[in-house]
Amino acid sequence: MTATTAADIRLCTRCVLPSTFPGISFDATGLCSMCQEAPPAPEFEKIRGELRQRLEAVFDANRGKAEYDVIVAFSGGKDSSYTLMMLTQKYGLKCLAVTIDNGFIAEQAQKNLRAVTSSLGIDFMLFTPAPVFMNKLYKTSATTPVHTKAALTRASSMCNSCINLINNHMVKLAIEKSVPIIAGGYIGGQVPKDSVIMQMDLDVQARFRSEAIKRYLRNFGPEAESYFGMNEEMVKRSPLRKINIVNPMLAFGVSEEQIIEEIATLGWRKTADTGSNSTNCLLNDLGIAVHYKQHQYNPYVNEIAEQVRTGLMSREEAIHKVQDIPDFSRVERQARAIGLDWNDV
Amino acid sequence: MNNSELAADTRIPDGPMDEKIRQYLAETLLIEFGDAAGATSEDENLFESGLIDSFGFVQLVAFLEKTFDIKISDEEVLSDALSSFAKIRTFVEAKVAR
Repeated sequence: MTATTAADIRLCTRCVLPSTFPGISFDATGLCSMCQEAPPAPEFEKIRGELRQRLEAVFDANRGKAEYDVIVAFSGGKDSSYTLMMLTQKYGLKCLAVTIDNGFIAEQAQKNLRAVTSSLGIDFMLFTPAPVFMNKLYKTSATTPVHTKAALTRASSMCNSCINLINNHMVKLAIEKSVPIIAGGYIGGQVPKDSVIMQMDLDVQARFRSEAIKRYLRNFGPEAESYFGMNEEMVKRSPLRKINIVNPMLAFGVSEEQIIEEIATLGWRKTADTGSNSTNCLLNDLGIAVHYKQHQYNPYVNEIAEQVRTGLMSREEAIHKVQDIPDFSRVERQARAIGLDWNDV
Repeated sequence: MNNSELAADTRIPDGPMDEKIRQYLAETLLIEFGDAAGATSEDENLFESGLIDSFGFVQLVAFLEKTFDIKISDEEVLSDALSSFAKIRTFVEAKVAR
């Protein structure tokens, strides 16, 4: 097999998706198959307006029904900080911000967690899984196929494992506290297009969990049960049968610059040590480097392409971001931290 | 074997419905069917083999409902009716015929 070189890779003339992206094809003008189906950028504001109305209806139907209206999966990064700010200030929802400390939250991001929740005057909960388990999870994710091909088009394998652990923790908390809504700070391209509002049926979820947990136990060992499993008796007893999973960023339509400007009013400051695609995690560049070595495309390219397609990022900025692939020297320290040998990737 | 050759081998004659489902599974969920090494068989359980996760399943249900103008009940979602390509095809055919 001949290795793909950067010169062999062509980019969509509108959104920057590369020819190495799975399932993609190009027309004679160089437009990728996703852009061929997408409306022009200005039409997205109308779509987002309709999505905001649907979100508001979900918020109105669930406000004041439990101790908290919403559990927000809060990484301390710019998108979840903005989500938390909007849900609290614009929509008047009582939020519980929940952060999973993966052991690699940048120092400035840790300050941001406190600054944002303190400024908003909301409750904040931090959960720190055992570092030995998290390191094993990351190392295994970098060297073993754990996730579906479709999931890998939205995030690196390391990020997918972490996201699944986070999601499971949020669902556990929502069930424990009977909170009807879980919000994430995901933006377009990080989650499927229809995920502005998803109703998660707990019975359906239980079925997937039983399959997923086998995979996690096989890959991450018996400790995975604590992080990916669920007390099924608690699930059955819960008065909640469905949880609304919402990703409001898909409906907001704000650029990165606007987001950073607005959350700066809460005391949020940009990190300097998390690479060009993360504002909280010190491991992110390693995830990108591993993904690129294995799949020949930046795992952020789907979300970056979607930002361009929807008019929230310029093509020039997008090209700069997607081509910023860390070489091994930039991620050696992180690889060492999780016990990863680059030759095993 | 390419998709059109594969289609000729299937138990139920291909029509636009069959191709739409196959195309969706291939392009969105990146599941390729066929006899080649590593390809998925039409009777393979997509959940047990880890080819569809919960996100993918929610997407699939939404796609089927919208594309074929059908309603899939909670009971049907919880059953095995959508666990393989062959079952999805049979299920949609029956729904559309009603």
